[in-house]
Amino acid sequence: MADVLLRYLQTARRLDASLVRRLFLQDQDLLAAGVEQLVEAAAARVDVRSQHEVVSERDEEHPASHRRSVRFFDEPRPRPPRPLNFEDRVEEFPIAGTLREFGCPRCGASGKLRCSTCSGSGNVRCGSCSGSGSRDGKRCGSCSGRGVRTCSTCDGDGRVRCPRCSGEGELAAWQTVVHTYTVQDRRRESFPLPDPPAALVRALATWLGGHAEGVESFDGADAERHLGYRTETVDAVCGHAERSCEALEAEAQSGARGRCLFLQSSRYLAPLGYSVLRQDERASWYWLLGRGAAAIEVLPWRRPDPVKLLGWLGTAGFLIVAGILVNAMLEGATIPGGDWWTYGIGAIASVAAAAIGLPRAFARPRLVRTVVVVSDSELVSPFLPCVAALGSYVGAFHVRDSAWVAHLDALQGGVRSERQSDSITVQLLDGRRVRIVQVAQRGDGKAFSVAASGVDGVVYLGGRTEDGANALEAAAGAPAPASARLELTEAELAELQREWVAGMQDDNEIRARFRRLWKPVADVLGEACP
Amino acid sequence: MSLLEKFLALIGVERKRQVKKVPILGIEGSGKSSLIVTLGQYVSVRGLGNVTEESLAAFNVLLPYVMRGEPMAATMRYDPVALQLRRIPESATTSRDVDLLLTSEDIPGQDFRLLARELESNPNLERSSSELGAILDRLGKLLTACDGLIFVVDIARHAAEGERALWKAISEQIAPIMTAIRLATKRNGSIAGKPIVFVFTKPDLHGLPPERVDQVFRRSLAVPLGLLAGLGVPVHRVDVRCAGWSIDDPDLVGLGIDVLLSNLGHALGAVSPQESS
Repeated sequence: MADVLLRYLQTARRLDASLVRRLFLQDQDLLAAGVEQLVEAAAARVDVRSQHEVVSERDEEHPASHRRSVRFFDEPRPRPPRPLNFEDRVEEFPIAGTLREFGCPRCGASGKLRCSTCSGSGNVRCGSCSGSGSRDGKRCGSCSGRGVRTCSTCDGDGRVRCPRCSGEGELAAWQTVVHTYTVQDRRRESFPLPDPPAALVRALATWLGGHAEGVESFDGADAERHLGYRTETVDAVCGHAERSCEALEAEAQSGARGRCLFLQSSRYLAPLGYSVLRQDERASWYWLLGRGAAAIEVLPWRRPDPVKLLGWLGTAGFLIVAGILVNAMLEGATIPGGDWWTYGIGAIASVAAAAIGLPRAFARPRLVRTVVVVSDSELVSPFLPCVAALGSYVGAFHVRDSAWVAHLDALQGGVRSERQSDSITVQLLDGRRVRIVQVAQRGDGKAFSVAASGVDGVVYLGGRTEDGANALEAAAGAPAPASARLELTEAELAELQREWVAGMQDDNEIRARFRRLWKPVADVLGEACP
Repeated sequence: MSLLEKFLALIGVERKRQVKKVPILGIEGSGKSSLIVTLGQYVSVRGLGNVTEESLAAFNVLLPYVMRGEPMAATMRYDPVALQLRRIPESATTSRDVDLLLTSEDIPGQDFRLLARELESNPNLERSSSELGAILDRLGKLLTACDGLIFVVDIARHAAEGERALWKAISEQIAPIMTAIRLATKRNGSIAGKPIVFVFTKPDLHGLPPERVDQVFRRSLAVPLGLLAGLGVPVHRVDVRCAGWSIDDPDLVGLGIDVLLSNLGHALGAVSPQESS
């Protein structure tokens, strides 16, 4: 599964720097958003395809000669679709035992009916001469002076063919048994949260369109084999998906749309990670569906800033008003639709709107500095929980993320994910913010080259700085940012964590420990250690 | 007495003093009822205040349980107890005039338990039930309307685990409540500048020295306490034994009630001290 946090940082950096955002959208520094929750989950889809059979009977009645072209059966002999050979088909079986022949009751078995046009006379009144035989004193050419014409419906016969028996006078009736085979598809998705955004549902369809490898079952072990990880959320999604599957199968077998002959359930799982982020008062969700570079991002909705829009509308309004006035002055013409003073008020209002909105559009974005922490150890480093706890304790900053409960658990030795990067955003005493990202996938150059491009500095935990810098430079394909090394080994960090939990009592000692932790961060940022 | 109050007193106008409201919060079984009953007994005996008339019936039901140190049913949802506090002792000879209403009726313990359980799996209460939304709304309104908060924390329930009990209690009791407060303030409330007093109950049962409890409290909650400090919220912590005392002890000394009231008075910035009568 792709690293949610690293992908988010990469996207946040790009979006924060985008001109469209600065000019039109709300000042929401995505990079500064605190992480409230980082969840490794999954999205599931269940496709249930079922084959149904509906048997019905139909009474048929045809002219007697028609029966000779019909193949009659003593009993229905349907060929139902073979299992898992889904097809739409209709089979009809006229039953021989139900066949009977009888005279057509409509025409009295004569096959003829009196012509309704000529009432059986075979002639109709001539329309050209109105039956007089002459027109304008001359003999009518249409009826040759007879005043009537031969009826075109019955051709002068006075009788027409009976439509029920097609003139045969005899009818044949029988019953036909109809077997209708239809295929029905049912689909249901499961996500970690109810009512997922429509974009996420579309992303799942897109991902499964290219990576539709089904899973045997939604059992935890199968899911883990497929995803490569297993969390409580994955289990919850799998449980929901399995229940959906059972519901769809029950619905298919309920017989509401005919007898279910067989069905096939396909189960799909896609890796899904999401992060709940909070920027000031707003919470937003960042979703990452899929694996690797092909993973699909579903970004938080970014709203237009009404004040910035006001500024642009004011500018446009002012330019229009100014254009009209200049045009009127140059041509010596009267200005359309009003006097000078109305345009003056319009111009003043437009300038005011522009003065309010444009400064915000061109304001410098809040600077969030980013430091990446890279460890050469295979262990999950307690660096971030220790920095958060000691820094807050000594009052050097306060942590803006709300994931402190997770850090509290981590300090007590709780298990943390090794697959996902971790981060904290701290607000220094002067109001500036620093985001510290601890890259999870050590040794994978691609993973942290994503985070390293454009960061303000890199702190190496253990190992040699030069080697790390060279590796980073090679991975990122660009000069490595400023780097520093923490003068504490992983074992010493673990010992610090234990001491903090067990009872570090001396405040001066705590301050000294914090300075030691923070110094490399301050160094790469080019600031004095608090 | 402020200059304005002195002036108003001179011209014969008695200014109506604004009552400061301090709710007592905590999960059920943490000792909220015991605390308010002990507080009621303490202030009544010393003439510092009184149990409100509406709460007297509930108070009389709870009092024997508290004195015997017996557990009581989670009754607070139905039997709120409110306490009117008029004076706070500052030292042996001085006291402060205050007008405080301590109450445990607003967010019952069961609601907090429900909220805490939900917050464990759904930290943002995203698309949560309307019941939880209503609890959060009520908490937000309470935070806006109150002037300070008292949190009751029971670490004795993990007493067998020694010092680890503190970390466990903080993980189980304080962390979800802090998260709930943050969510409620985001939703419709405000906590800025309002003091929070954490009352750790049952010190006789857990047996940990107060200094040690204080150190662990500040270390384990360093991150949220830092955030509260950024919001200008003063945080205090006191140990109070609020059960098992005897009616024969007229002064109720050594329970920690005096420290709690003193901390609360200071934190709320009560009116200037005056000589005790």
